[in-house]
Amino acid sequence: MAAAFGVWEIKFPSSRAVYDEDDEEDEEHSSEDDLRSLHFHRAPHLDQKPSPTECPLLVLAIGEVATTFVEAHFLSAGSEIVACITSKKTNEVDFEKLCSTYKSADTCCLHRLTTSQDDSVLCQCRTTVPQEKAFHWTEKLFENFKPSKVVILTSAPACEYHTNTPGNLKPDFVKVLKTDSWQEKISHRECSFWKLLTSSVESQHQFCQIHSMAAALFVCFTESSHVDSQSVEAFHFLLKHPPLRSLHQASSEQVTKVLKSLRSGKLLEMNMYM
Amino acid sequence: MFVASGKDVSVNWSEFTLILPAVSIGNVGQLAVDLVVSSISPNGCHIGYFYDSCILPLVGNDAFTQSTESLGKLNVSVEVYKNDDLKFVVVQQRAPLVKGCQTEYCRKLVTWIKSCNFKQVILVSSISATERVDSQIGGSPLRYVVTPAAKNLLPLFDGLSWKTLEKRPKFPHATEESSNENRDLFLPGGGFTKKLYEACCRDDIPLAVLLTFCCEGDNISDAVNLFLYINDWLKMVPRTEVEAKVLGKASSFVFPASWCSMFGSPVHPDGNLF
Repeated sequence: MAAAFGVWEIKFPSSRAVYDEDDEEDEEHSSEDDLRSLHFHRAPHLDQKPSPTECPLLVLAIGEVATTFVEAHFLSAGSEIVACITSKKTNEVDFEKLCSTYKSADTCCLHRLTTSQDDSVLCQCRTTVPQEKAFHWTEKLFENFKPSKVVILTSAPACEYHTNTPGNLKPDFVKVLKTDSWQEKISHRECSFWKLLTSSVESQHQFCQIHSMAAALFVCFTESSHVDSQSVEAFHFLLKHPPLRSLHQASSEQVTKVLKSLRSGKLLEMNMYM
Repeated sequence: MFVASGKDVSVNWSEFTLILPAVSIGNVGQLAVDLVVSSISPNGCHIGYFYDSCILPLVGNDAFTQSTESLGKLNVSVEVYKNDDLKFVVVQQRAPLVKGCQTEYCRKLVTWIKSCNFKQVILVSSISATERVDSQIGGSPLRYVVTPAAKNLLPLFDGLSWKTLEKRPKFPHATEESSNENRDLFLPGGGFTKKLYEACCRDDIPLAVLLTFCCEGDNISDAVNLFLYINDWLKMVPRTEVEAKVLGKASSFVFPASWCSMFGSPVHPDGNLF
C-alpha cells in the first residue's frame, strides 16, 4: 500500500492461524486475570444453599433468538432470578440492581420457574461471553450448579452452516450436536460438519463432553440479521420433546405478548427514518 | 490438563512417541496431524482431551467418520489418540491459544510431557514462506530442528537426506559469517513452535520439530507433503497409497471427512447467488 510521500510500504501477510508475534510478546498475561474478573452471585434469599446446587435440567440460552424463546415460552409464565454471573462485584451494586440491568453485556442471569416445584434452572445470556473469558465463565457456572442434563440453545447466521447439500435446507433450521452421554435420539436434525464461532457456547458444550455430562446443543441457523418470531419459533419443536416438554410452559397469550413486543420494537426502529 | 475419556488410562508412555501440531501459518501442522490420526485408525483409539484455560473452546461434529449416516462423536479443541501397535500418542489441537498465553501453555505442556515420560516428541509445524532467505527458496521446503536431547536422531535424518533449518543472525545487520552464538532460529508464523522448542531445550526433552515453509491458502498439498515427510521416518502407511490418493487413483488411504467442508458449502446448482 502507498504510504505518505509516495514511498511504498511493505505489508507482510497476516495469518488466520497465528497472532502477530510482537503483540503476543507485549500482551503476555495470566489466565488468572480473566478468572478474577468474573463473579458468581446467588440471590440473597438463596445464599445458604449448598454449592454446587443439584438440578434436573439446566437450559442455557445464548444470544437474542434463544433468550427470546426461553422468555416467551417459560419465563413469561412466572420466574425468579436465583443467581447471576457478572464482571461486577457485589460490594459495588446490590443483587436487585445488578439483575435489573441483566440485558447488559456483562451480566447473565439464572432463573427458576415459580409456576411449578421444578428445580430446573434457565440461564439467559443476551450477548456472548468474550473468547478469553469463556473458560472461566463456564467453570463458574458448573462450580455452582450440578445439572443432570444440559440443553444449550443458540443461533448463528445460516451462511455459517457447511454442508455438501445446501439446497436441501430451508431458512431458519435447527441442528443439534450432542455429547456422548446424551442418550435420546433426536432424529433428522444432527449436524454435518461445522464449527461454532461463539465461544461461550463452545466452552459449555466442550465442558459437558469432557466431563461426561449429558448435553445437547441446538443451533438455529437463521437468515435474518434481526430477531423475529420465525427464527424464535424454529425452536418450537423442542416443546413437544423431552427434556423441555417437562417444564411448565407459558400460555399462548403470554407467548404472543412477548413475540409481539419484538415486532413493535422493530416498527419503532423503522419509524425513526420515515 | 490431560483428562482421560476412559477410566483405566495409564500415563506412563516411556516407549511411546508423542506427535503434536503447532497452530501455525496455513494450519499445516494441524492438517498433517489430521492425516496421522486418519492413518493410524482403526487401531488408533481416542483416549482423552486437553482441558485448559489457555486453549480457546471449540466443538464440532466428528472429523473422521466418513459416512453421513454414521453420526460420530463430538470433537472438541484438543483430543488425544493412541496407537499401541506403532507406539504413538497423537495430540490434535483444533483451536488456537488464547492471546498472550503461549508461554503459560508451553510450561504446562512441558510439565505434562515430563510426567508421561515420552521416548521422544515430534512437533509438526509450518513457517512463513515469504520470509525465506535466498538459500531457502530453491529445493525442498521441508526442514527439521532437534533439541540437544534428540541429537541421536541426526544420523537417521542425514540418512533420509533431510535439511536442518538454517539459523539467522540475531542482529539484522550482522554479517552472514557471524558465529553460531550470534545466530538463532527464525520461525515467523510458527505460533508457539519456538517457545516450545526453547522450553524443551531447557528441560532436556528429546524434541524434533518437523516443519515446512508455506503461505496462507489451500494448504492441503503442504499438509500432504509434510505428512509424507513424517511418514518417511515413522513408516505409518505405504507412500504409494498416499500418492495414489493424491492422484485420484484407487487407494486405501483416506483424507479426514472434515476436509470436505474446508472451504464452505458448494454453490447450489439451481440456486441464484443474487
